[in-house]
Amino acid sequence: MNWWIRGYLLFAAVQGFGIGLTGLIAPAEMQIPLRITPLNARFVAALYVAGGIGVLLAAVTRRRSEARLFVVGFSLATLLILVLTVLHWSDFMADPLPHRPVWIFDYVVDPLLGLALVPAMGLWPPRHAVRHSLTPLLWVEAAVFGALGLMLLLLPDVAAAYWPWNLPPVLGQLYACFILTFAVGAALAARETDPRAIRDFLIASLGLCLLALLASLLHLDRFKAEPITVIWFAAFSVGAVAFVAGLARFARWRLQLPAIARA
Amino acid sequence: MSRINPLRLVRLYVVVLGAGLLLDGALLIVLDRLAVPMPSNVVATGDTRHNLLHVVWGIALLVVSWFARREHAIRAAWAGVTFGAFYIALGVVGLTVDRPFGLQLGPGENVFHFTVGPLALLLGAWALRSTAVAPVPLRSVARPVGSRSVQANRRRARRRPGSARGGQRRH
Repeated sequence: MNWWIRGYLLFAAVQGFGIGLTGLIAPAEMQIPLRITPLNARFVAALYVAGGIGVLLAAVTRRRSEARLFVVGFSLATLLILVLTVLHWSDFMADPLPHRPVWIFDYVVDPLLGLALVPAMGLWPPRHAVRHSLTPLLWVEAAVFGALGLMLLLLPDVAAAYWPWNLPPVLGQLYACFILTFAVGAALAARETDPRAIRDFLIASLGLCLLALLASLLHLDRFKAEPITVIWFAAFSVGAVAFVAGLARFARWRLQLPAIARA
Repeated sequence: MSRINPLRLVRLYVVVLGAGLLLDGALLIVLDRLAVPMPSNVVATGDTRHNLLHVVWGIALLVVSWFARREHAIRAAWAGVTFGAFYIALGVVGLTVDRPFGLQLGPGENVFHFTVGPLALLLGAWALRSTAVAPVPLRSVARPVGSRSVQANRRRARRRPGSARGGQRRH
């Protein structure tokens, strides 16, 4: 794989893990301008780390086809965050807020480089989709995350009212940028022709579910005593189990390939 | 009329820009060290970080352009795109944040960043577009055994019968 793509993905991974791990370990120190509660910071951190897992796995692949899904995904996420920052400028870029230079610098550089990389390196999704045994699972993920992401983005007040903890609407829209990216990533993985890209996306999705559960369990006292809390934990638990099962199925399926071919 | 070669153009731009940035940054650092009085409204000699940034970018662009010859000419285009994205972002940061990263980015610096950055990005993108890579070919999820590489088939052939992993153990 071209070193420019690898460099871009490694840069993305450094950002994802840098912001995400800081947020998970020391939420107050997380390098984002928004001032948010520790639970919100840890959930944002979970989104960053899950994305970081995906781009890091893609950065160490050998083929362009194994990385294209993540280059497209990272470019989309950063473009959405840039648009959100511009639309809510005072929330992200007001004078006393910290980490503003890094924030705006990253979210200008990342989409610009992504917009150059994708067409120049031919990293578009494959024209001819392939249906594989994990396609149904990935379509379900795309539908669930797509609906949740669109609601957070377009109806932030409604989403905040139903959210299991206290959620500022602008922060909900920041969540939407990541969740919509996972939805698009799942839709792309559902029709992906490269096995490793599918596996790496499943690992990133599993990471998202487990880290979201971890962040939630660390702040269980902040959750509303309402059915939505049960739905929240059930949904991410089911998601984690489904992705583990998907990965197990993927491993069996790859092992069986030579036997099938010999037969 | 001969057509303009975008790869040559972007390489020329990268060389000129690299030399200019290196010269500018190094000269201002030397003037600052020697405490040469300069009109502060013309050039800000005291911003060592900014001058160092110019020196680093200047060296990087010159090194890339040195290695961007013949069949590796595309490297100059990537250097242009990367430099362009970086300097556009620096321009945005300079416009929106006071003393970002400790840099003194005044109107003059911002005009410079918004001139060289977009130009580098456009030239780099044009050069990349002229040599755009074809979309990656279809790689089937159900990859047949026969599609293994020649080396992999040789390794398989060398394996001992009944051995899961190939290769004779050395004693």
